[in-house]
Amino acid sequence: MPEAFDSPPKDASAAPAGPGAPGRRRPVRAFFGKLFSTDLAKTPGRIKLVALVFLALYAVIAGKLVWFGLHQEQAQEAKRGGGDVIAAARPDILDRNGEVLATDIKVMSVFAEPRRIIDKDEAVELLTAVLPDIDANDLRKRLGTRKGFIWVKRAITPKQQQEVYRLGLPGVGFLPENKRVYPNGPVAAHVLGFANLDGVGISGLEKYIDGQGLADLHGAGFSLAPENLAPITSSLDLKATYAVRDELAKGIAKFKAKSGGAVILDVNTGEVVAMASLPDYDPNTPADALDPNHINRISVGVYEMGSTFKAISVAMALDQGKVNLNSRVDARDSLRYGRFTIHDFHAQHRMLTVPEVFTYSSNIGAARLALMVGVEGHKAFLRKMGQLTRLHTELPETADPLVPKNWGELNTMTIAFGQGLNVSPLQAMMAVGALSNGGLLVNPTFLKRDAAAAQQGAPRVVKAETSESLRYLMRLNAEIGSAKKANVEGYFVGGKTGTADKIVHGHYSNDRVFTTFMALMPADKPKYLILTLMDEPQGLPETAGYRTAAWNSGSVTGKIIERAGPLLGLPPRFELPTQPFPLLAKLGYGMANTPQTGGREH
Amino acid sequence: MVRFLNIVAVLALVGSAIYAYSIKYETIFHAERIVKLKHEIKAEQDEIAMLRAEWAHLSRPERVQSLADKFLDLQPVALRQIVSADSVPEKTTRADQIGDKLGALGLADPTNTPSAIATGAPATPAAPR
Repeated sequence: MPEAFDSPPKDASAAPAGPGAPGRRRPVRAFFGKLFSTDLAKTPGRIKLVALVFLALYAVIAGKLVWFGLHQEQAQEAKRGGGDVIAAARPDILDRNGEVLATDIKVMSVFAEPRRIIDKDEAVELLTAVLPDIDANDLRKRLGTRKGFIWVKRAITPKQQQEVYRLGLPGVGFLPENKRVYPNGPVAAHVLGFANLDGVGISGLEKYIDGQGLADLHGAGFSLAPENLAPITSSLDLKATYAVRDELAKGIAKFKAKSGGAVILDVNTGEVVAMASLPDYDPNTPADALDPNHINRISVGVYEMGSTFKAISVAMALDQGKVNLNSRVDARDSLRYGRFTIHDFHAQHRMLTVPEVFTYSSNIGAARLALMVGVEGHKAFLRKMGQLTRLHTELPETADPLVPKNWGELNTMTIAFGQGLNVSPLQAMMAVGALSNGGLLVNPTFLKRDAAAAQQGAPRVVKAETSESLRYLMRLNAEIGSAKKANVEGYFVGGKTGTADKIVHGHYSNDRVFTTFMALMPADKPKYLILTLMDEPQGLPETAGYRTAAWNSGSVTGKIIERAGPLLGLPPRFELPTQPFPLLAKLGYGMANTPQTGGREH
Repeated sequence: MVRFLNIVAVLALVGSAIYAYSIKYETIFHAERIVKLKHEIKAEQDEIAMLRAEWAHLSRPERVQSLADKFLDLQPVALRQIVSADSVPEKTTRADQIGDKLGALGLADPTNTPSAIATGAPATPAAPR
């Protein structure tokens, strides 16, 4: 029936001629005929109709938009509105051999949307029954707020998750979160620092990582997966760090010291290979870190380093050509300056050679050496050695050294033997490291690096000969001087003790001391500088009541060397090196290369 | 002819529609599998991270030391016990006195016990039939 498809009005009037067409269909055909007519006269009306329909359609859409704008969907902003963020992923921290020091694990956290909870009291009751360690009152208060999102408990166990899930509470759900864990507990805690529950680094290397742009990325809304973050390789050696901490803890217990610290520093690269500061804390329970007794004594504490500073004074006098190794210094009598008198602990009452000043740890000798250089020269040298300004490492916890305001001759004299200038132990190590590694001041670092990178920008602070002289003096001190306790056979150790009287109520106390010990191993090819410090160690019957550094810090350092040396891959040598100090031999100090023996107990 | 072409066109249309739908559903199927596999990979990675943390925790020096103190009869290594590879003695010719004596006894030589095949007799008496 082709006629049905095209039905012009003209045909419609002619249609009745169709055979057999029922009469009642005619009005229908007429209606459709009119509807689909192509009469041009109808066009304007039709256009208006179409325009009206579209207008109505767009009005509906616009109205809906306005309605959406006025009635915001609350659920969308729920998580942000709570002011809480999901803990962000952080890169792993590895030790220098790839052992894990800090890593992220996935844990489930329970959250609640207070608006969607029907019976708040019931919810509180059920949740506290399953999670007994949350405070019911606090939870009730927080559920009562108009917030869209609150955390009920972060980092729950899978069993707890199962139990909370079984409660079937509406408006309570789970979110996977990253939790920072420190598998080794308190070992290396002060270096690692810790991150809080939101994955923000609070202290230590964790804070340093955030400062390197990680926090900015998180802030910009990038959700980084742990596998996208390259791990940070620290300079620490986990096993050596543990050994150092273990020996230090034993030493502190034995000598009943209040606190202590120990560091192994690679003098060529500036890497801190091991570090412990006791008492410490477990970064897995970060609340303990806030205890002021748990500070990092190596980089935050500033102390009068005592006789270990004599190394710097002697090196200064040698480097500036004021004395040589054969020069003699007057130590016949106590040194008077105004109303002050400087005594020697091991007074010899004679002229001492420069090596004797070092091995007898003569205060008078050190003071006289510093006076030869003069106040300004002394100050300039210490500034060059980085002792007067704050030391910056990756760790954010640092402290300014306490420098005397009016630095006169007396200050120079006392600072020469380590009293009157408070520096952080790591700072002092940097200086002694520079004096022993050939004369380059390498900034300590807690990240792994190689010697070439470390020495690239390192300024030369003393001549190579001075450095070798100092190594010789330290070695001599271990052979015949006060560092004998740490002279571990096989490692050609050199060392210097330091015992500083503590200031109590503005006076130097006689019975409270701060002892330090610096050891260099091996002294001919310097690799590691080891520092041990102890606060208020006590004399013991087996140390004949002495509380000086050789007995406590020195013996602990010896144990650390013995235990950590093999761990660090340093092969022991039992044949003494034939020519340990070639530069000194060239300068005419052949005696430096013959090992000294003797029972001179200093 | 035109009718034939129409039929062909309709069939082609139906065929291509079926093909397009099948491709679409296959794509959805694969996309879902990818999502599922990604989830599984994520779960595995989380598990690996967890296990690494656990391994690091269990093999921490503190624990190893306390276990060694408790169960092993060992002492700390003395420095004298560490020697370089050069000081290990050269490998000598194999000198096995006991082995030589055993060899001299001739136990390894073939013995003249009658073989099973030669006699065909089992070692144990056969069960009576």
